[in-house]
Amino acid sequence: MLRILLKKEVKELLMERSILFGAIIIPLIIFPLMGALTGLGMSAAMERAEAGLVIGIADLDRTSLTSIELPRLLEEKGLRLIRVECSLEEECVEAAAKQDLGVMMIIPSGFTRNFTSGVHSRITTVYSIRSAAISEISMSQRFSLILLESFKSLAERVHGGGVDPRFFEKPISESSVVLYLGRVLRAPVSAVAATFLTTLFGLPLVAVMVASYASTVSATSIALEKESKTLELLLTIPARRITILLSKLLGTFVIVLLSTISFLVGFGIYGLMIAGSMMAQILVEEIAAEPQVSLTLLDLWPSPAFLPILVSSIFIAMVMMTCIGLLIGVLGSDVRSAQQLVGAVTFPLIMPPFFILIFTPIESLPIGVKIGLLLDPFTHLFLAIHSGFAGDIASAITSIMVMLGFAVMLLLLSSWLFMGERLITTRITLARRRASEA
Amino acid sequence: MWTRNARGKAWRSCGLKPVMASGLIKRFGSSNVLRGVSFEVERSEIFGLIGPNGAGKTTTLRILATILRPDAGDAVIMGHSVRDEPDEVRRNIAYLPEDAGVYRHLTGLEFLSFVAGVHGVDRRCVEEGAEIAGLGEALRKPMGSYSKGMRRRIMIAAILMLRPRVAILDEPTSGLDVIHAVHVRERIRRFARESGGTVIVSSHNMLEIEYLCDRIAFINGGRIIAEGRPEELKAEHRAENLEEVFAKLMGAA
Repeated sequence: MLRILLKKEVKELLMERSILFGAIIIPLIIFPLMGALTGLGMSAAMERAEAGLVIGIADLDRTSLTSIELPRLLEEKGLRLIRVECSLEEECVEAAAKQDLGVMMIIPSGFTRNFTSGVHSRITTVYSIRSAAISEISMSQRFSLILLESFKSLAERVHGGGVDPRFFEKPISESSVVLYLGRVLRAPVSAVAATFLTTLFGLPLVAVMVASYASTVSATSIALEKESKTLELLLTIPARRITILLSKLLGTFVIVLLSTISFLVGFGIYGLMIAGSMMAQILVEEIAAEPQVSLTLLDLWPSPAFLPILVSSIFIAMVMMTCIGLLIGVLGSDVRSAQQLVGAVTFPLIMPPFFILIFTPIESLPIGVKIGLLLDPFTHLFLAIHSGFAGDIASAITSIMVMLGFAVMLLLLSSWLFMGERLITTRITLARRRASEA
Repeated sequence: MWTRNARGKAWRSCGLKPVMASGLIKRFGSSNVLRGVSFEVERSEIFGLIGPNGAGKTTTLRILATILRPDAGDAVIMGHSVRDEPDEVRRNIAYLPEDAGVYRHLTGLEFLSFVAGVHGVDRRCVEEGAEIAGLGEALRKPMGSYSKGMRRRIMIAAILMLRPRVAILDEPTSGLDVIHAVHVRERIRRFARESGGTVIVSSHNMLEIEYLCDRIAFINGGRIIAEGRPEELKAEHRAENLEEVFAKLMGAA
């Protein structure tokens, strides 16, 4: 009995073209495509960065070990070195910022004495982070690893053996300074990376959730009127069609606002719990020798303009998705088909820019992919958030204006659909469904 | 063709009929649903449209209700064209679709208040609506819990309580049992008699049409094939009732 019922269920669901398309075919196409594009962009960015990885060295110890042996080892690892003249750590950090060095290492006075005695030594690294893309953050972490490997090799050359094996495992401790948007953050680069990741992933995720809710709610709002057969009644009340459209839009906004608040509260609690445990882990593992302050999103908050950029870009995305939902609601024959259509239409619009831009700056992508992404209105949502976060207000505003253009276009299309009889007569009934009903 | 202002003035000054449909044509793809439907309805008159399934009854009513736009021809309601002034037309009509649904989470009373609110009528008419619906305590329950008959009664009550100038009712008693159908027919007649409103009604039920309507039109294949008072039509076709008239007309068609 179960087998017969199961066979019927599976056949019935697979014959539903929107399920077949939205739940099976789209993910099969979209995810490999996104993976390929992201990989392409990331490797291009990494290659570019690695080819010209310039490391500044500020040698405050001035011994043969730090001025000859160590530089030689680093060059063997493929790094290009620039010597920076300074006498105090603060002065060296300023010099790194002035010379726009991506990475700089400060070797403190007395380093050689400790190192040759087999005593755990401390160096300071200065990372200058220019964009919030994962590829750049990965480069910083990669350098941190190269540095550790180089000092391990140096320890083997100096000591050969006879010192505490724990010294060979980690001959130095790294105290990092991160330069970001003109600010000096004394924190491990991994902590900064974790905060960036939260921002890169978290804020666009909020935007995606808000936008997705908007399309689902608005599509349901129209489809429900159709399914409940109340649409004709609604269309004959003595109100202008634009008023009816406006009530649908505003109704959707209210529901989405409530769901956003609920989402933010839940997500915030989740984020605090995860961030708390992650931060504790990072501090224990990496900077046990020298405690540094933990970072929060607020420490990296770029400028007061970012909040209005964030809110307005999410709001416009919500308007766009509400309109798309309304259009889909009109095309769908009932709530179920409308909701399936929402997924099938919005998934390919939102997911590719969301995932690709987290990993790779748009500049690193091949021109064809870049143009394809720029034609997607939701690319501009993520660009606005990323640019705003990186302090590039002009680019963020440009992205917002592009989104506004798309939103106006979709609003006009929705109001056109609400005029006359289109709301009643426009409908897509999936062919298979029609066949099964017949 | 009349201009918008000329038509409005003409209607007001010359006492034109509340509903004047002229040469309505409607196509859906390659299917010609209406092929030139024309009729007029007087004030306080109940006009019935009868025809088989797919004859064009609902399409005609939807055009009058401004839901559909005719491809050719026009209908003028209270001096306003459904093509050019749908907003004005909607201020003068109330429309009951054939299979109208309800807002499941609103109670009957909330729905009546909502309808009164959007039509901008006195909230006291809600009491009249409640009385017409005759649903008692069920009015305070969500309409999602209503039976098909209860839903139909609340919908009809919402239309009649508004006392519209023109009430367009598509199969008003569909889904009602005999007792409630009789009650609803009586309310429709009272509405036309007491408020002076015009009623256009479609139905498959010949007895209902015979009881309700002052004048009827048989529609088939998108055309009106006969029109007149029930008694006149019966006499003309030498039939005892409208069902016989209908059968003869269909046979001839």
